Amino acid sequence: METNSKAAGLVAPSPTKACRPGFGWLCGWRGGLAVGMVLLIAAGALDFRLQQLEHRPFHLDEGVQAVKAGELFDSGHYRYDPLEFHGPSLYYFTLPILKLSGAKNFAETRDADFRLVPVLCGVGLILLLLLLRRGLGGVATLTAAGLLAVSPAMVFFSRYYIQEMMLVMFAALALGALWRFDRSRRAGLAALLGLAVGLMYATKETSVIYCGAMSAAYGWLILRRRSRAGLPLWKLHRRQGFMLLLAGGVAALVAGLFYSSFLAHPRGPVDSLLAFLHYFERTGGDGSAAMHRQPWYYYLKMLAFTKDAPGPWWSEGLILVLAVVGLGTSLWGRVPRNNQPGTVRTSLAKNGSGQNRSEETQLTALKSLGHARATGGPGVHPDLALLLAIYTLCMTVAYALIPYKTPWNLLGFLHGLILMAGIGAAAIFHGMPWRSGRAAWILLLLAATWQLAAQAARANFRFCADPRNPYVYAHSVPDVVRLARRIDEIAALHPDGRSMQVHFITPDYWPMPYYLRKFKRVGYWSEIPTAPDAPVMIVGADLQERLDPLLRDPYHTAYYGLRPDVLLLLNIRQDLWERYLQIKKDSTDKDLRNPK
Amino acid sequence: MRWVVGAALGLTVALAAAAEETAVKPGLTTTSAPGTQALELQLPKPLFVGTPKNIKSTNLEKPLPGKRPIYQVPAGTTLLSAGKPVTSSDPAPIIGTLDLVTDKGKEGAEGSMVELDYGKQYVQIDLGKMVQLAALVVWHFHQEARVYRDVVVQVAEDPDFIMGVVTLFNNDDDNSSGLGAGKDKEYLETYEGKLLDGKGAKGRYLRLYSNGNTSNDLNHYIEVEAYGKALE
Repeated sequence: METNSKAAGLVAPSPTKACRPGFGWLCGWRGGLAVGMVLLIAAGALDFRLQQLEHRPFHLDEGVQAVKAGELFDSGHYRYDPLEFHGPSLYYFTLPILKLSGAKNFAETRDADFRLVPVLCGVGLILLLLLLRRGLGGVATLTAAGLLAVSPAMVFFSRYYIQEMMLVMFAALALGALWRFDRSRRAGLAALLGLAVGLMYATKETSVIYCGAMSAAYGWLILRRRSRAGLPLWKLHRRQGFMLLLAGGVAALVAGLFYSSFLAHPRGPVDSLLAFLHYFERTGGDGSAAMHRQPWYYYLKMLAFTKDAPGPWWSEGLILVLAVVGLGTSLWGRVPRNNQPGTVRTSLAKNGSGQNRSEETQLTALKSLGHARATGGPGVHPDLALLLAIYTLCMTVAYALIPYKTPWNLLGFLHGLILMAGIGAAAIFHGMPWRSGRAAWILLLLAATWQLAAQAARANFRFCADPRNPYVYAHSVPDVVRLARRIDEIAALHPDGRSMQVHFITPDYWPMPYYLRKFKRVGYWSEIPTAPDAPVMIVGADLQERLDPLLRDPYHTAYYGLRPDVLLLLNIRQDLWERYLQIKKDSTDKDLRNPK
Repeated sequence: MRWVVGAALGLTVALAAAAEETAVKPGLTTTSAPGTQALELQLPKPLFVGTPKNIKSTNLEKPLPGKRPIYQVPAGTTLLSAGKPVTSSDPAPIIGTLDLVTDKGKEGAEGSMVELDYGKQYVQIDLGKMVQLAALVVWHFHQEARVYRDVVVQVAEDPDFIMGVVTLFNNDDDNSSGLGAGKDKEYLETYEGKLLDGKGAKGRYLRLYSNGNTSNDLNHYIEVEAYGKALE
């Protein structure tokens, strides 16, 4: 029986084997120290993510999402669109921040108000590691927390107002709830799992990929356990069925509330299901999505090494290498184990009762023995390692196979890879035979993490909108902010002020509607209108030639960038331009006469 | 009669002077004139091919539909800037080194471009001795359609740009760089570089300003070539 139990991976090694003398501060924690360090890392991550939050111009998608949130803020109404914009949770979770910011309407909002939402999600992702801490052990938890805090991709998209970071945070919540539910089988945790899944679905339709990967991983774990314990593989117990229904019910309720705009738009949930027809087409990378079609290795190459054009190189290779170690040890059952309930199961198995009891009865026994809440050892629980490994593999393969690829979509499986990297770091740490070796490993890990942090700083500040940054994708250039500022300066000279007419004559204008949210009379045309003249016109470089003969008034024209290789021409009516120059000259002359 | 002879003589002299001036005046042309030579430029490979548009605006340079016509410069004009020392307002460039500005490499690929910091920055070339400039060619960046802002090119006799400062080009239309509002036009960067008239200006030091571009706030130089004659 003991042999069988060992083969089933249920026997934990002696704690003393994993916890070497001299490392009691790491191995012997009982919560406080580990929680404190995770909180400290999360605080550091928050500070890092809040720096110069408005420095990078809004990406097209950020502009679109902000305008949608602004509409909800101004009108109080939202209606799900199955063709675009994804789920509504981002907008609803932005509302409290906009209200707390003191803005009375969308026009008064600031860039940082919107970006605070993904910042909090990025920090939440670190804090949610606490749900897994007892299963991951100290080294893996802290390594994963550190990598989540400084991974260039994680930091970059934690400052990016789109759904992705929120989706990953809810996925982390679901993983944590699933693991804790697996340990205790409490109804409250089943409901928490349902809440997380409901929020994932209310965030983005691609949450089905996450849910599929989680189901595959957890299903595999259950079948493996039952197979090793000699229990029926497919039998669903009444309590298990109840828990499943509870989780599913909560998920459906939460998603239904969001998609129906809290019952104001009852068709929303149905539309959310119909949307899959559209998204299946898009994930194939056909039609308008063809420009996002990439080879299967796109994300892995991006993470491994990127150096395009003259400029610095980028690599999150540290995470990849550690994740490979973590995956190997997890899948082959070689993780440094802790002394969690497996020990109790073994004792149940040893006295002969384990074979004859159902899994449910065994777990009840576990609870009664007071071991359901594991005390938390220094190593990694093999079941959690396996769960996370299969989840990560499924996610990585799924996203590699989907031809439609954009950099932010890698976050889902990068989160899994970072958890696996934590397990990999723990495996190496616990595998070190000498104290000096462990100390050297910690130092090496800290240095490598610092290198990632330096890259993250580069990606988020100096290269925040530079195409040489691998996470910058069809990004707006800083000129969009300058363009908005120049239009604002001209409006200040116009009798109508911000009610001045502004014409955009170009099919490519996002995120300008966001930047011009204070203007009341802005028109957008993808082709030249019959009466194009306006005090200010922004024209696509391709259309200017056809527009010139149609203009009544003379204009001063200047180039402005929208995205790399996409130029716009700002046409300012000559009289306004001359007034602008005169006022500027007068101001300069005044400064020269009265130097401060 | 004396009036007629005088007038005829005056007209002849004036026409001869005008002809002389026309002959040595540099510029874009398809034919050569006496006393001039074609400016021979070694151009890099085009890294992007934009669609030239016939933009009519008074303050934007109309992109050329094909290759730039031959530019005539006074006979005896040579390349003066190759290998000459370069300094900058940003002494520690983000990417590359300042010597790349005069190393004759124009490909725009790795190792041939220097990237300077945000905002208004300049590079300064010491031509080593007083020269008379015939033409300048500037390559900022030609991997994508891009316009550099507030391009100002000056020549001076001293390194501090106090004596004999001549502005050869200035397209800072709103004086945002503080060097005076310029009337020259904004232009799209191409592999042919921007060819500027040297205006026969005399000096030893060249300074080229820019203030970011339409793609980012950084400043780039692949190559600057100064053509002219050394003065005794």
